[in-house]
Amino acid sequence: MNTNDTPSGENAPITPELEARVVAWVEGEASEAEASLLAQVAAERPEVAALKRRLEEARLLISRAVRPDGTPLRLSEGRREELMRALSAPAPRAEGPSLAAIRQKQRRERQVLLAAAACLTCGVFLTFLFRSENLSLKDGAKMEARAELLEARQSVSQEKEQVITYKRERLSEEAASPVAVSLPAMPADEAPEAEAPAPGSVAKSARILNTARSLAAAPAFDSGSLGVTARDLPAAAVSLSVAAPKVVSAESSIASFGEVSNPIPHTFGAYRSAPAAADAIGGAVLDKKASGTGGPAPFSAIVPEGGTYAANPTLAGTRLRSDLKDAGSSVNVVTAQFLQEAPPAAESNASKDPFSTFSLHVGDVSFKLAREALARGELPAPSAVRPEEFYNAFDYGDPTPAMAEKVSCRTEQAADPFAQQRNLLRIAMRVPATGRDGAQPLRLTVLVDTSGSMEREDRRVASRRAMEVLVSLLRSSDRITLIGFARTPRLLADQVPGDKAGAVLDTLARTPSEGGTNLEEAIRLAGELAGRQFLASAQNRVVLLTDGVTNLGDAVPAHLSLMVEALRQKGIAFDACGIGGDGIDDQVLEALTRKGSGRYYVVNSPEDADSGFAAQLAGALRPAAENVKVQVRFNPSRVGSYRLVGFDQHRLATEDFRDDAVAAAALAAGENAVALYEVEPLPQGEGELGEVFVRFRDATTGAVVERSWTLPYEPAAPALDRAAPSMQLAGAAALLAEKLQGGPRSESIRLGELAPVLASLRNHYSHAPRVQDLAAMYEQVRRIRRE
Amino acid sequence: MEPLMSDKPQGRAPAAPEVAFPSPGGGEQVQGSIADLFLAEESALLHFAIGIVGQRAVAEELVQEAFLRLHKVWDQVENPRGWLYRSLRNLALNHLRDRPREDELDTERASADQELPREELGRSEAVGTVRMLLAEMPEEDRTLIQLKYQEELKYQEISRRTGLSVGNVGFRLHHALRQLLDDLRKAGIEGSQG
Repeated sequence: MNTNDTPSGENAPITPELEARVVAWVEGEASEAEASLLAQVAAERPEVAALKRRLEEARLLISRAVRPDGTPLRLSEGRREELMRALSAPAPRAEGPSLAAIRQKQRRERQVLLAAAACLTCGVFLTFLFRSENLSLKDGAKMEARAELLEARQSVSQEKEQVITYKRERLSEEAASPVAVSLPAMPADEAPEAEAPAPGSVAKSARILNTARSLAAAPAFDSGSLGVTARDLPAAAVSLSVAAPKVVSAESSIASFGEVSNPIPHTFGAYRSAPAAADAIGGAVLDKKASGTGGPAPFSAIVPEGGTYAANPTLAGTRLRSDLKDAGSSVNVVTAQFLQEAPPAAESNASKDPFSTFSLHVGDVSFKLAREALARGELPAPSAVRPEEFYNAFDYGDPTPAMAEKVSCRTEQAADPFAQQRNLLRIAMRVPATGRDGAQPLRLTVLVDTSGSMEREDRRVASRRAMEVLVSLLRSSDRITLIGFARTPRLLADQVPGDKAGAVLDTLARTPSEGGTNLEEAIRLAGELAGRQFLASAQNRVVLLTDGVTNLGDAVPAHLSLMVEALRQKGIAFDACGIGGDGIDDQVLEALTRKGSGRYYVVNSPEDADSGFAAQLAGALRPAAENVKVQVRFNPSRVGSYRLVGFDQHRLATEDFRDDAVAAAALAAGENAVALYEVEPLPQGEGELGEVFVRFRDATTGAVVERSWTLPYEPAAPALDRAAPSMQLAGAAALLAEKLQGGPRSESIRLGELAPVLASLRNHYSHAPRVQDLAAMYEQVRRIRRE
Repeated sequence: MEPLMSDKPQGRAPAAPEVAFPSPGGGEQVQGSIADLFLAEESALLHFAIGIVGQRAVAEELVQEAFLRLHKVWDQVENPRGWLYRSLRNLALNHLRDRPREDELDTERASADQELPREELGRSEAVGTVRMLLAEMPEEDRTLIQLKYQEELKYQEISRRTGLSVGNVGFRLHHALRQLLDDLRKAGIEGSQG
């Protein structure tokens, strides 16, 4: 928050980041702490106060605009009848358009033709240039030419951008000029000409424009195979910019129809070609490396100021796209689709459906985020509460198996305090403490958010610590590729050996921050680069470090998940680490890491990076057990119904259990994983409760291991406050989570009655900070909910 | 904060009757006929036109003219509401241009007659302009704005209804608002009084 060195005055610039926060504040979405911080900023900076004022005024206007007027007005009766009669008759099209309309149409058509001609000329001219240059190119010059091509291409794409900016300016002028007339003092001849849109020519000019665009785009992209010197490209760019105003005139004529037309179709084509360009240029850079000095080059491109780096080509696509978005035509049409999230499951009937199968996907993010929210005095969002991440946030001290044993299992039961005839059943699994000995190398691709919000001191330090931890876990056989991303992704370090990775940290420290967070482009590039350094015998992972909210490009969690899913099918796992708990987009990060062996962490503070995160990351990078699935078969003659608490996003079909092609979670060496059931034992029934199976791939040997244990029937399960401490802990954490999650179950949970359990836990786990946190969270929830 | 799954949307339903008909300046595309659109927008457009020209009779004439023009091209217009607002505004501005000064006295008198103070006119124009800009906005952004300002939902609830993440809702609203502020400024409207 550098409020001191910024220029002041009402028109001083405000960063998009700050602006977004002010908007949230005005909308009443900011927390109390944030609101008072912003109030302070507004008091110090007049431009922020002015922005706030304008936003509040706009708010007021919009609120009025979306509601009916106080006094409804009607046309006079005679006029009204006349109009209604006219409107219900068929349209009087036979009369034909007025003379003025015809003239206007002709003028427009001329403009369109002109634009088309200009573009054609330009395209032909460019192609001609490229071809002739290609003939005269010597082989030796090709290398250099390619490098220059990168720059030149950039300038061409910027040229395109200018076209669009120019279009926008024209649009603004169009919008602005009629206003002048509304002020009596202004001369009359600046008045708008088009009073009624003539939509007939819209489609036509759009089509021509489309052609124009692709013509403009084509030379830039095709030239990759030709090998051009940069000398010519500026010339090409110039001719492009000459053509531009004419293109624009065609376009603005569309715009003057009251923006009736929808520019999506033609811009889409332009955008689509961007990834292809990225490929082509990526290839060029590789060539350059191969034919370069000959020695191993640990860094391919580091300094962003150089302007020539592999990630740059995506620039064209991204900018183009975001500008268009600003221009009012959203390219990524977000269909209002609901997240496909499974609602908390109801009880299952053991005789109808005796099998419960799930991926043993454990983490503690939901617990940590809830802890942060409660510390701020807010209840966590119900959608961000995942019970399994609450009760898996603790170390229960379950026994660690010997190496030969592969996995251990322990079960405990207690009476459910809030449901009749139900027991809580805790099933704890643990894998041996020493996983694989590092024989398997790592191929890491790290995506680091360099958007402006990461500048916050605590986040900067936390993310730096997280990176240091990560780098410290690497060995010489490992490779790390580092990508910084904000508005656009940039390759900062390419396939650096693990023992030299320290330098990567410095590179990152020198990388300036930017506005915006385009996760889509970043994942795309990460996937490409991870694919390039893919090694079948290695752990191939992409790790994302971000503090915030993805806001450019496609940000629909389901769409991003698809990209991650595609990676996973290529054998590349995806982990996400949220930096600073309060701003992270839990929904997106959780969705991205839900499938397969993906891990999700949050690092709230630098200390956090040192303690939990280091161990979690080390475990994730070198898992001891992969594809870990659990199946419980309940005995219908002993169990009436059952319910798995949490794991809503990780359930599997019964037959998936032994289908090793169905991916599941991974467990780190020594990691504790717990599943909690609510079971209805039948006292008149017979036999055991059932059997639990676990199946996974042993990362040391690659062999698939399957084990099973009996779940005993306990006729006299103790009350929760008299059960074993580990049972109490799991039960309390799960119940608190279900209370926070809402849903049908939460109504029956009376927090007050859990007080003895929490008191006993606080006592028993006096040296476990996490458990003390849980007790504090419990108190806070009771305070807030007044229970 | 009480997240009863899926029955919340109906929970808000009492507000619906007002909204059921295309609301002024926003709302879903009008599916029905031009007559439906007229009934829905008559009042809002009249307010808008009066806000610009200051005279009730002229405003009525302009609204009528705008509808007659729309009628001729009804089949070819993609976004009739946006088209209407934009073309009514152009008609009104042209009217001011074609009949400048000599009417100015009349304008003063007319507005005095109808006891419409200047700031009232300014506000009508401003609200009308916002409705025009809303009508021209991409569908998704308009939906978000309606959920936020008409139904007065929190981001969390909007997120649940639309499937966008909370962060994304905030971001999109921020940008829709930003764009609106810019467009309003270009339209010469500063502040809620116009």
